[in-house]
Amino acid sequence: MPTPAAERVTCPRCHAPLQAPNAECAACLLALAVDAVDDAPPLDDARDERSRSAPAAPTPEELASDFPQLELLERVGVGGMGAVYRARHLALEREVAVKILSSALAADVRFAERFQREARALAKLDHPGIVRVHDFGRAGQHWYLIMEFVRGASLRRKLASGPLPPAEALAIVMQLADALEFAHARGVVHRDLKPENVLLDEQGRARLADFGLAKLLGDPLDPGRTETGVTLGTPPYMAPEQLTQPQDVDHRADLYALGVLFYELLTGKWPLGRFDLPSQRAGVPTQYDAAILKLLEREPQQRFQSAREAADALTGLTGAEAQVEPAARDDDEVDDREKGPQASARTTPQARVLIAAGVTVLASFCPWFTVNLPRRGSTWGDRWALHISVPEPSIHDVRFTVFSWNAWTNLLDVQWPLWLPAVIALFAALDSMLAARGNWRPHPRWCLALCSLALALVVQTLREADSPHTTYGIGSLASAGALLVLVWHYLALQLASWLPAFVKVDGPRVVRKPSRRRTSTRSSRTR
Amino acid sequence: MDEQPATEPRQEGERFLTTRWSQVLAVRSADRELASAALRHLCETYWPALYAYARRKGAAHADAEDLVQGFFARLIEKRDLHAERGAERFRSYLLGAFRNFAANQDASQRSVRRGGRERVVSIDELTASRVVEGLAAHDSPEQAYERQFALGVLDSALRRLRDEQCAGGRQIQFDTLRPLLGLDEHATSYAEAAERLATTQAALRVAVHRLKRRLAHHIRAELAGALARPEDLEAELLQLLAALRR
Repeated sequence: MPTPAAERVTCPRCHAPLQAPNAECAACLLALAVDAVDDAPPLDDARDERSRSAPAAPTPEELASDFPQLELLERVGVGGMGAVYRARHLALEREVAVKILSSALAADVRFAERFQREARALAKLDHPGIVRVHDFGRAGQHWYLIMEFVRGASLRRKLASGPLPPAEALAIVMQLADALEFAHARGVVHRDLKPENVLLDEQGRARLADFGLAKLLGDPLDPGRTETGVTLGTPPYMAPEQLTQPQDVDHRADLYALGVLFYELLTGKWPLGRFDLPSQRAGVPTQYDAAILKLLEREPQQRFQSAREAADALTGLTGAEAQVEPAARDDDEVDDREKGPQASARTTPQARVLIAAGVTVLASFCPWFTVNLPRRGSTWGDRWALHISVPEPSIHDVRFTVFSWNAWTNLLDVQWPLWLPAVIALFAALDSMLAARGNWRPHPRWCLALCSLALALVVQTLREADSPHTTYGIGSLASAGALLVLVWHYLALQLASWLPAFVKVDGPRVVRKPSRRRTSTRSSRTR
Repeated sequence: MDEQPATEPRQEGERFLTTRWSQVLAVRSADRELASAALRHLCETYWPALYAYARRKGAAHADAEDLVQGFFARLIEKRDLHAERGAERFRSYLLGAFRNFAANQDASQRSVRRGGRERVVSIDELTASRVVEGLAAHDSPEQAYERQFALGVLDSALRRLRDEQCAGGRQIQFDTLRPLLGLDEHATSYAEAAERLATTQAALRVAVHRLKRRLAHHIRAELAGALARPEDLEAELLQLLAALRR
């Protein structure tokens, strides 16, 4: 019973659904434009067109007179807030990036204030994971920010070609957690952490940029800058409290954004609505799920309480990653759920069925246990007493128990309402434990099996049978159970996705509905 | 989207870049003709999105076509269609206005008009059937609309890119390099293309890289035209990307 997702043809690079196996991926083409530096069009008419459509950003030549200390080389990007230029600082003799506030917005007092706030916040931070600010102020008509020039590309650009390998994603997220810890310790919250704001330098190190929305905690001159109701941030990365109580946002909002970013790095998607666990979608070890879900908790107090705490949990994942690593490197293009290399390293469904079947076959050849269950007794005790007799083991018994028609018909005819679910429950529990490998928690399959067992007990209690005793072999039961495990696998997965009651058990169903409760920032301020 | 339809350069499309959709709707009589041309460009680009929405809502081909045609005719003639408040993106505006239009449209009125009304956009069968094929079974009408809108942006950008390259006399080069735009730099097709254009693979990589950057520019320009505020561009782009990857 294949799932609809398995039938869809997807792009090997970004996993977007495709119309046909070899069709061009529209998502990959559209992704070219994400975070693209809109510069140097080769044709004159195109240049003209751009100057008309893009927000007015001054050319390096126009800015030269306002910045005598700089040699402005080129414009490297234009965004909503302004333009960024590459320049050479004549006194420092080094390359710098100059951010110029858009002239249209410079007139807006609030916007200029926000710009100054960004500069002040950034100037406080000196950390290898954070883009440094050398200087800021106003020159002529322009508010400016002189920053370290980072050669490389943004994380968004890197993501445009699809999810990252788990080890790489983990390394980046750990570096970001480190940088966030440093900033948080100085009372600076980023508030707009997203792949666009993470630059990867030439050494592949992640550098956090654009503390443009940072709120300076504990600054007496800045009491809740967003109290006017202006919500700052980028929706998919915003913690629920950023939408509901922007004035109460603290450093834990950054940890939420870090969780979104981590999820996106691993899967290429945002964890919106009901989302799959990273282990299901990207084949990473299940320990990743716990860390990411904790980062994505709706209530700030349920998340990690500091970036340090998150970094420690992430460090714990490096071990899990090492177990997966050798197999994970071979091939990263196949569908992870069916034949993903990561999945195979952590017991695929097929392997689990094989193990279950193996156990069953072994059980089938241990026929000397025969269970006699009285079908009708005068008392409750008689009815449910298990009489286990141990006959003489003989070749005849083996043949009888494994291939006996009687055993099978008994099973199917009279006893199945009780025993079949019982065996399935056992196998499902075994299977869940194998799947989780030490990180065990109730799986919907397991819960469903227990429910069906309970139901069968009720049915069996109400049932009347004619024969006083029924005899059958454990081996036959186990064989039947194993045959049904395969069916069970897919059936349980389907059922789990239909039954909302199992949402919590399954773990990944985080609904991003902002909570109404106010969150306290007092504890974080003292931290 | 394997091949680009051969279309003549679109003058109105180029002119539209000078303005944004919100200004188009607000424009007065002096610039009416220009604005109508710009609006027509928007209709031509985004009708599949509305058509997909209508089909996903359960309308048959003829009904969906009538709705879309009627909607555009009204939009271009009267420009008095209103969406919900706060629709600062053309994508939201268009869908909101279309929903309102469809809700107000009496079924009997529609059937009387069928066949007799003006065809504002050319809803060709081929594109319509391609749209229907592209509808994923699990998509909601809104999701189908978003996906088709994203494809419309991409389609328009590719058309602009082709027009631009043709105007620069690089039509053959463009048509040869066009399939490489969606591929990695190390794809085997590079060797074939290099042979066909009698150039080296390194030179080809540079050319494809420049084309990709131009395509990125056109996508951003197309999208900027469909937004009221330029700072929404990146977020809109991400949203459309998410729609395609869903």
